[in-house]
Amino acid sequence: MIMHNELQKPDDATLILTRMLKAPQELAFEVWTSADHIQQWMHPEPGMAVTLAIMDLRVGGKYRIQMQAPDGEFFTAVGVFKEVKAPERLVYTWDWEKDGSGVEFGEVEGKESLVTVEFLNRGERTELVLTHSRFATVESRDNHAKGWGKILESFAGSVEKE
Amino acid sequence: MVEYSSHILDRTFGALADPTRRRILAQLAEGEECVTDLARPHRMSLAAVSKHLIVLEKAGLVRRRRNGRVHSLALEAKPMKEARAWIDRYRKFWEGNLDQFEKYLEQLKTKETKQDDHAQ
Repeated sequence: MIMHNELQKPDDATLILTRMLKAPQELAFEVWTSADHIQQWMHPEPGMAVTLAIMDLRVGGKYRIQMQAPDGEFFTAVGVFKEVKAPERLVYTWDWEKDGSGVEFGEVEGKESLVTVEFLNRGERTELVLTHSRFATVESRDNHAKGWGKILESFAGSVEKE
Repeated sequence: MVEYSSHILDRTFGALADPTRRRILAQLAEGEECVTDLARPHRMSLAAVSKHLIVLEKAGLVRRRRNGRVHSLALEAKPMKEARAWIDRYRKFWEGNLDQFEKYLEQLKTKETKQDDHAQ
């Protein structure tokens, strides 16, 4: 059951999603990070399937998740783990492979972004907080967020109009 | 699935990193203005303000219109719309994934419980 899915304002060009999960922290972390489990759940759209998942879960380790759409097109996400603190926190870079159809790491688009996933212990439950930022480091994400947030405040109106 | 121009984004955010430039953009959010009017509230020379305007122009955040010797600047919303589009695409992607993640976790828990019952 979906408990809640709260969207925080995206003014700082960072996406933040939270979910309350009916599962303990350790299980949630394991299912998020193990290649076998990822194949079972990483389906962003109906009909999409994970054809291959590689997870080298350690700081500096790489991952590669190859997804295939029903029309045969591949969407392959790759990146490097920056922080691995089981069972509570994960930080990794995110990029897409240009082609993505191979079985080995391929050429990336080079538009690296940053994903942070936090698993907060809520007893029987776990609160998941996912942050996806367009900036490839925590520092640049936070620096840019300051300017961006202010500017979008005053511009929200003019952007909507167009 | 996710497409955006990181080159443009870099310039956009570089341009936004300066407080004077953010103030100029806030002025332009009120409407089009000529360079001299834009420079007035800032404690700096026209030349200094012009430099900031060039940075904003290069980042694609403002658009310049020349009417003889008078240059007017207006806000350009495209880079901001691009940022919004980036977020929206990833929102769709992660929401879909989180739905499946949640469903799969519950299935695992149900299985576990059944196995426990069986064992007892």
